[in-house]
Amino acid sequence: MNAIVETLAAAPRPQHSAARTVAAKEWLELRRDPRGRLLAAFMALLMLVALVGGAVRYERGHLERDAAQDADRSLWNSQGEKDAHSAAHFGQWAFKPPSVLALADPGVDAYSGGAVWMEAHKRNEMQFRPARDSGVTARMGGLTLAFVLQAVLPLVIIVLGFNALSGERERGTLRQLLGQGVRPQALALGKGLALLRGLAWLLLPLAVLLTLSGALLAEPGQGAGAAQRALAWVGAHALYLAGFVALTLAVSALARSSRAALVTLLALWLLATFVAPRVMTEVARSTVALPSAQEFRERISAERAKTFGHDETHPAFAAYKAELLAQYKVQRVEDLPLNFRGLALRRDDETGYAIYDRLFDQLDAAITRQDRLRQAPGALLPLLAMQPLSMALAGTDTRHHRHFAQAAEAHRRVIQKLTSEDLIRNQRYGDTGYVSPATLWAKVPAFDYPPPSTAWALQGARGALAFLLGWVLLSTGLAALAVRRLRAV
Amino acid sequence: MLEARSLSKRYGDTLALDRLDLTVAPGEVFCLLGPNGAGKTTTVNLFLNFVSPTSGQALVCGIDAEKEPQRARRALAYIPEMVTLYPALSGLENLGYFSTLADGVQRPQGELLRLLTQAGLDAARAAQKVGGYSKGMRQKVGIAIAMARGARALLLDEPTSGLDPRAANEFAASIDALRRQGVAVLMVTHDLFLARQCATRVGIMQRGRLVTVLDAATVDPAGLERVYLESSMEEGLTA
Amino acid sequence: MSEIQTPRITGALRATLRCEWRILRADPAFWLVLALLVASVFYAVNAGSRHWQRQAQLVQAAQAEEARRLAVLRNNLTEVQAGRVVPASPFRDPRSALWVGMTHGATTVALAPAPLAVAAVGLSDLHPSTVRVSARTKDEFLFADEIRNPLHLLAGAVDLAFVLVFLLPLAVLALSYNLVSAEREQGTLALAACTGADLRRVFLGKLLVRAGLPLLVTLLAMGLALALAGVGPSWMLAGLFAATALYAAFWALLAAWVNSRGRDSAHNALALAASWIVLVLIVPAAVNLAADTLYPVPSRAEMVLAVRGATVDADRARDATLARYREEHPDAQPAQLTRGNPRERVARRIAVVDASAVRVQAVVDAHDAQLARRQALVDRLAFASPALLMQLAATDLAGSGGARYAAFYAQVDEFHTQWRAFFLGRARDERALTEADYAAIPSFSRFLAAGPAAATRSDGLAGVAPRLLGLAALALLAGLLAAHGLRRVERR
Repeated sequence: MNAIVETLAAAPRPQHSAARTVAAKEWLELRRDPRGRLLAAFMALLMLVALVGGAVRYERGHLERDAAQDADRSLWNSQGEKDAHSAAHFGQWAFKPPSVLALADPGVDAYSGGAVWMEAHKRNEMQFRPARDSGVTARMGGLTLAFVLQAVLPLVIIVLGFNALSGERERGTLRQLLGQGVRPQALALGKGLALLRGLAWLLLPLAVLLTLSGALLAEPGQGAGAAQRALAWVGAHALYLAGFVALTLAVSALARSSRAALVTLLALWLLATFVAPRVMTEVARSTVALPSAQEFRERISAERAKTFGHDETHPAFAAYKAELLAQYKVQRVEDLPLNFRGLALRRDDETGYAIYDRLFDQLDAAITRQDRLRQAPGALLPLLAMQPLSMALAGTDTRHHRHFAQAAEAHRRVIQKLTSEDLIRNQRYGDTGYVSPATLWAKVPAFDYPPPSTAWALQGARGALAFLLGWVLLSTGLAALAVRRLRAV
Repeated sequence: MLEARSLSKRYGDTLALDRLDLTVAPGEVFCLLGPNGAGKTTTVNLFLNFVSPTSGQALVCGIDAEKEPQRARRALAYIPEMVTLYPALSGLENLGYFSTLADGVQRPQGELLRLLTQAGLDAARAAQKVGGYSKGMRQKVGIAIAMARGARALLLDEPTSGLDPRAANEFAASIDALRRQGVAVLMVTHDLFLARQCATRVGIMQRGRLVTVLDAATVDPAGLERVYLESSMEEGLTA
Repeated sequence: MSEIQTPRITGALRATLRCEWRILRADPAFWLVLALLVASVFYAVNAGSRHWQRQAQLVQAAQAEEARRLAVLRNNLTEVQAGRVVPASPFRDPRSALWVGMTHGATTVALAPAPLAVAAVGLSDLHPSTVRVSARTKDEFLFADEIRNPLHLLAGAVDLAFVLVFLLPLAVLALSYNLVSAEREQGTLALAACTGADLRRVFLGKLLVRAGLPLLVTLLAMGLALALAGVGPSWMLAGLFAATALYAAFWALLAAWVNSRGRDSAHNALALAASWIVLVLIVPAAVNLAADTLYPVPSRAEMVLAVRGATVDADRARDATLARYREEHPDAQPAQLTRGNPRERVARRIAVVDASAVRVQAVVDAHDAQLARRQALVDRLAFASPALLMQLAATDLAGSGGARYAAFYAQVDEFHTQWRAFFLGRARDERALTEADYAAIPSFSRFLAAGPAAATRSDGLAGVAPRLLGLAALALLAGLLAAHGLRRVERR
C-alpha cells in the first residue's frame, strides 16, 4: 500500500479540468447508449432525405424556370413587325429563379407568387402561388432541412439531456460528485460540452454536404455566394440549438424529478415550435392591417385617374399637349420634331412610376411591420427569430421576393422606354399604319436576375439575428443560475 | 482529522443535532451508532456541507465545512450507503472518472486496476460494466475511489447494510488498512458487530445528542449491545 | 359460479370509473389540461369566425363594386342611345359586346362558405375570395390573388382543425401516458391483480375516464363555441364530432398499448412523445415530400406561355389573312380588314381570344389531371397517419378542402363558357348591346339556381366517409394491440 502511495505522489501528471473529464465521460456514455445511436442514425437519415429531396426540388424548379424564361424571351423576340406600343402591352413575363439554398429552407416560396407580367401602364403583382395547388395537407409542412433542424433536433436534445442533472440526483451520483468537491458548474458545463459534441457530429457533415450541394447546383459564378449562405445557415442553426442545450440543462437542474423536467421541456418545445408562431401570426395580423386586393386596386385607380393613359379627353392630356407646344414653340402637334403619341406615352409612364412606387412601398412597409412584430418575442421563443433568419440566409423570405419584384419593375421600365423611344423618334404623327421593325425587340436586354449577396440578406435579418443571440444569452444565463442552486439532497 | 464543535442543526421545530462535540483523530476509526432519527445522517451531511449548521462548526482537517465547503470536500472521502456508479461504464472507467474529477489527474489503466484489486475487487470483473455488479462490488469501487484520492478523512454511511458476511469482512479489512495509513474514519452504522470489529471508539447517539462514548477495546459485542439498548431505554425509547 | 362472477366483472368497471374520477379530480394537472383544451377550442373558433367574417366583407365589397360599375354602364348606355354622349373609342362604348364582356361588365363570383366553415380555414386563405369572370381567357382572372403576408400563409391559421389535429392528442397523451406504469410504480398494480378482477376491464375504465373526459369536454366546448359562432346542428357537425371521437380514441388506445409493454413512466412518456412527432409531424412531411417528388405541382408558367404563344400565332394568322386578302383584292378593302381600323381590331381581338382559349383549356386540363393524380396519391398515403386523415376530414367537413374548391372551379368553368358565348357571340355578329341584353347578362346565382352540370355539383363531402373509416380502422388496430398487450400486463 505504501509503495503505491509513494508512486502516486512521485510521478508528474497532466491536469484535466473537471468539465473536460465530465465531458469525456458523458460522450463515452452517449456513444454506448443505444438510444443515442438510434436517434443519431434516424436524424442522419432524415437530414439526408431532406437534403436530397430539396436538391431534386430545386433542380426541377430551376430548369422549369430557365425554360420558361427562355421561351418567353423567344416569344417576345419573334413578335415580328408590330406597333411598338402593342408590343409594350404584350410585355414580357419575369419568372423568379429559385434560390439555391431553398433546398434547405423553401421559406415562403410556395406562398409567394413566382411570376410577374411586365406590361405597359401597369405594375402588376406577383402571381401563381404554388401552395394553392398543393392541397390541404401541404400546410402541415414538408420534410425540409429547416424542419429537421428547427423542430426535430431540439427534441432530440431534450430527449438526450432532460435527465442530465435530475437523473444524477435521482441515481445518487450527484451526491457523490458534489460530496467530493466537484463544482456543479463544471458538471453542467461538461454535460453541455458532450451534447454540443454530439450536435457537431451531426452538423459538421451537414455543413460540408450543404455547402458542396449549394456550390455545385448554383449557376456558374454564384457558387461562392451559395457556399457562404450555406455555411452561415448551418452556423445560425448551431446557435439556435446551443440555446436549447443550455435550456435543457437549466430545466434539468431546476426540476424536482426527471419526469417533471421532461414534461416541462416538452411543453416549452411545443409552445415555442407550434403555438407561438401561429399565435404571433394572429397578433401581427390583427395589429397591422393590410389592404385587400380590391382596395389596393381602387387606390391605384384613384391615383391613376390623375394621369391620362389612352384617354385623350383627360384634362392632363390637354395640359401636356399645351406644355409641349410651348416648349418646342410650335402651334400644332404635327409640327413637333418628335412624335407626340410617343411623348405622351412616355409622360404617362413616368407619372405612373411615381404612383406605383409609392403605393407598393406602402404595402411592403405594412408587411414588414407585421413581420417585425411577429419576431419580437424571439429571445424567449427562439423559432420566431430563427425562422426569419433561416429564410433570409436561404434567400426565400419576403424581402428576397420583393427584391425580385423590384428588379422586374426596373426591367419593365426598360421595355417601356425602348418602345416609347422608338415611337418618339420614328413614328410620324397621324401615321396609324406605322409598325416597328422586328429587330427592335431583341434590343431589350434579357432579364437577368443575379441573386443578392449574403451580406444583403443578413442586413435585412439584423433584428432576427439579435434576438437569436439574445436567446442564447438568456438560456445560458438561466442555466448558470439554475446550476448554482443545484442541491444534492 | 474530523472535528465537530458544538455542532447543532434545527429543522423547523425539531432539533436534529444538539451541540455535538466530537473529534476523530488521524488513524482513528469512530463508529457512530443510534436509532433512526438520532442525528447520525445529519452529522454526515454537515461534514459534507449538504446542509448548513444552525450553530457550531464542522471541521475537516481544520477546514470549516460551512465556510469553505469545496476545500473541505476535497480533503474528505465519502462512501454513501448506496455507492451509485454509471451502469454503462466499467469499474475501471468509473474509478477513472471519479478520481480524475477529484484531483484532475488522469491515472493510467494499470494504476486503476491496482487500486481496484487493492480494494478487494476481482481483477477479471474490473473491466465489465458496473450495471452487472453486486452491492459489495460497487462498494469496493467506492473504497478504491476513496483510496485513489488519498484523502485524510473518510466518511462512511451504513457501509455494510446489504452485504453478506464475507463481503463485510473484506470491507473491515480495507478500513483497517486505511486506518493504518493515518486516515481519520467516521463510520455511521447499525452493525454492532462491525463497530466492535473496526472501531477505535464507539459513540451512541440519541435524539441529536451523543450520550455515550466508549473505547471499543473495553467492550465485547454482547457488552456493546447491552450499553446500546440501555441507552435507548434511558431515553424512554424502545428498541 | 357464473352468477357470482358476472356482477363482479361489471362492478370492476364501475368501481374503476368512480375511483379514477376521484383520483383525477384531485390532480391539478388534470384541471390544467382541461382548461387549456377548452381555452384553445374557444380561441380557435373565434379566430376562424373572424377569418370568415373578413372573407364575407371582401365578397360584399366586390359585389358592391360590381353593382356600381354596372349602374354606371347602364347610365352611359342610356346617354349614348339618346345621342347625348359619343363614345371616344370602342373601348369606352357601352354598346360594345367585346369590351363590356372582356372588361367593364366582369362579374364577381364567390364560393359561399359551408355551414361548418368556421371550423377550418383550409384552403380559403390561398384561393382568392372572389373571382372576376370575364370573356378573357381563364388564366387572366383565375389567378388574381388576395393580398396576404406570405409568412402568415406559411405559418398557418389557428383554427379548430389545428386544435383537434395537433393539441387534442397531446391532452389525451398527457393524461394517459402512465396508465399502467404509475400503478406499477406505486405498487397498486400488484394489489389490483390479486383481487382477481379482469385487469383489462380495470384499465378500460381508467382509460375511459382519463381520455374520455377530455374528449367529452372538448366536444361540449366545440358544440358551445360553434353555436355561439352561429353554427347550427347539421350532418357535417355530426361528422366532425365522430371524427374527433375516433381520433381521440386512437391516441388513447395507443397510450394503452405502449403502457402494456411494461416499461416505466419516463419511457412511456418518451415513446408516446415520439409517436406524436412521427405520426403528426414526420409522416405528413414525408407524404408531402413524396407527392412533391412523384407528382410535382405543375408550373403555371406553361399556361401563361401557351396563351402568349397562341396570341402571337393568332396575330400572325390574322396578318396572313389580311395580306392574302390584299393580294386577292388589290383595290377594294372593307373597313374590318384594314389594319388599324377599329372594326379590324375587334375582329383581331376575338380571333386571339378564341385561339388562346383553346390552348389554355388544353394546358389547364393537363395541369388539373396532374393535380388530381397528386391528390389521389396523398389520399392513399393519408392512411399512414391519423393526423392526415383528421386534417383532411376536418377541412372537407368545413367545406374548405380541395374537393369543394375543385368543384367550384369546375362550375366557374361552365359559367365562363356561358359568359363567353353570350358576349363573344354578339361581338362576332357585330351586334350592339341593348337594355334587354344588359338585363339578360349571365349571373352566377341564376346559373347555380338553374343547376350546373351534375359533375360539378359536389359539396366536397364524398371523401369524408373513407377518411372516417380510416380513422376507425386505425383506432380499432390500436385497440386490438392494447387489448392483447394488457392481457398479462401484471406479469411484465
